[in-house]
Amino acid sequence: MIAQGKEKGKTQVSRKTTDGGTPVEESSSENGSFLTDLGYRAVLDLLPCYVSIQDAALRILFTNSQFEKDFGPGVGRICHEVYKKTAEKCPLCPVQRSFSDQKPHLSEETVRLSSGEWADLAVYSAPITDIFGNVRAVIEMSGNITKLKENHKELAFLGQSVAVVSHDIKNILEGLQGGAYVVDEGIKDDDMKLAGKGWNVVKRNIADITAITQNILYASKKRFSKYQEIYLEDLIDDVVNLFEKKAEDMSVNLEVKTNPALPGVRVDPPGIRRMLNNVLLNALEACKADKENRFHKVTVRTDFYDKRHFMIEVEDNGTGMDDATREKIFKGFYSTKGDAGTGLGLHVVDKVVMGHGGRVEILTMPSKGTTFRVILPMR
Amino acid sequence: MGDMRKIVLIDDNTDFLFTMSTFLSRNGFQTFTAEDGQEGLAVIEKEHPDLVLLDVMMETLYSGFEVCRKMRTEPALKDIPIIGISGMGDELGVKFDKERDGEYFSPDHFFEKPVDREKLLEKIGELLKK
Repeated sequence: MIAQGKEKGKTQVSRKTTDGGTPVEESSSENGSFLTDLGYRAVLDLLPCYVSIQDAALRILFTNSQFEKDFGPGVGRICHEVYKKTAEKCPLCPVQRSFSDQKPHLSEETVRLSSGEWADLAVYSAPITDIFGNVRAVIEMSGNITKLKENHKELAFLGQSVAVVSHDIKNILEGLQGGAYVVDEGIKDDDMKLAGKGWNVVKRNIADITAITQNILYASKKRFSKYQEIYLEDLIDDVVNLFEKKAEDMSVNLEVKTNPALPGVRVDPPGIRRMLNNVLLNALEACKADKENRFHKVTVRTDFYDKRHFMIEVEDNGTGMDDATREKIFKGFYSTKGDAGTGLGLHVVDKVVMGHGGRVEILTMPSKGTTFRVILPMR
Repeated sequence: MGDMRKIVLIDDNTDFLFTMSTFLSRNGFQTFTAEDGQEGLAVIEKEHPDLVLLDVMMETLYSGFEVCRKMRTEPALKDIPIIGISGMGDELGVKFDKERDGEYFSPDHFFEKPVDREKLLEKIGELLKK
């Protein structure tokens, strides 16, 4: 059986475990007598966490039932092969550390359950020593903290949102204030041409704040997608129409090429619309930022990707990106647009695509342009 | 136009260039605009303005910081007053600190967007008197 030793955090093997692990010492305790009847094995099985005992080679000697339920049979197998389905040891293996310094350790690990799902675990290890103080095995107890980690990420996201939104709103306020001033001056001088120019600035900034508000709502709320069958062509025409004036102002030729053979697809139309808004805006901005004196164009394309997937592509011949930028753009709030961007748009794109069980491919080359390809499953 | 004070505005936001240059020209200044740092420096060298209004965080070849540094190291331009402007404030940790950033980025004053027009005019008047 296993009994708690005197030294904090150390567990001592005091004598051989009987089947079911009935602890002889505790049987004399009246208060704990029901534990005797239950047995250690059963107590460990009741724990809503994973318990295992491992030897120095990380071979599993014992697991509780929660462990077996989520990872399958583990006894006789190597810890990381069961937890992570890999032949490589964890760099900060707490079990090995407990073997080497005879102390308890804690680490956070991302593991893969038998179901294929990934989970974040807080892993505690403690040495089990014999009467001579030699570590004979290490007991490991892991709690699933996936939900906690998600909450943590959401909190961090919220903090960043406040910062980027405040920055964006300052720019928009500047635009609204400046535009309103020009409108006032135009009216004062009876110069409707000037007032009209000021009004366009106001309208652009109203459109910007509308887009930001929609992105914030989309990014921060857990919304339920409402899937319905639609013809992509209609949705794409709607979105592209909204951008026609903007593209014209930026001297960018905007065109749509849809494959008429593409059947109706089941998507969440508001999500796809929001996603396409952001990708299109990025493509136009990439053309605007490109100072090479060339004819700029953005093409929106829909087509089959393979038998089970369709794709929506937005191709531009703007600035393009280098490999490092391409790697970074989906990491929260990375923007290539300096003062003009927050990175919130791509976060929303990522959220929509993930929600649809799809993926994104980015084909890009500096000074040549970018093709942003969203691949979604046919439903 | 000969005795009008010249101000060069550099910002990659064309709406800001348009509205601010309208405001300044209606307050008696002759304005010149540029959408990036490189173009801005060329305008500054050509026009030799009385003051420069400069966006700090432009994602262009020469950022506002770069324009400022080049102006401060060029004997013919180093005494032209610079007012730095940005929408980035405390939230993203971008705030001008004269002591810390002085050597690298040394505008004479710094405004955050949305720019208080009255205070801007006051500050321009103050800097042009020097």
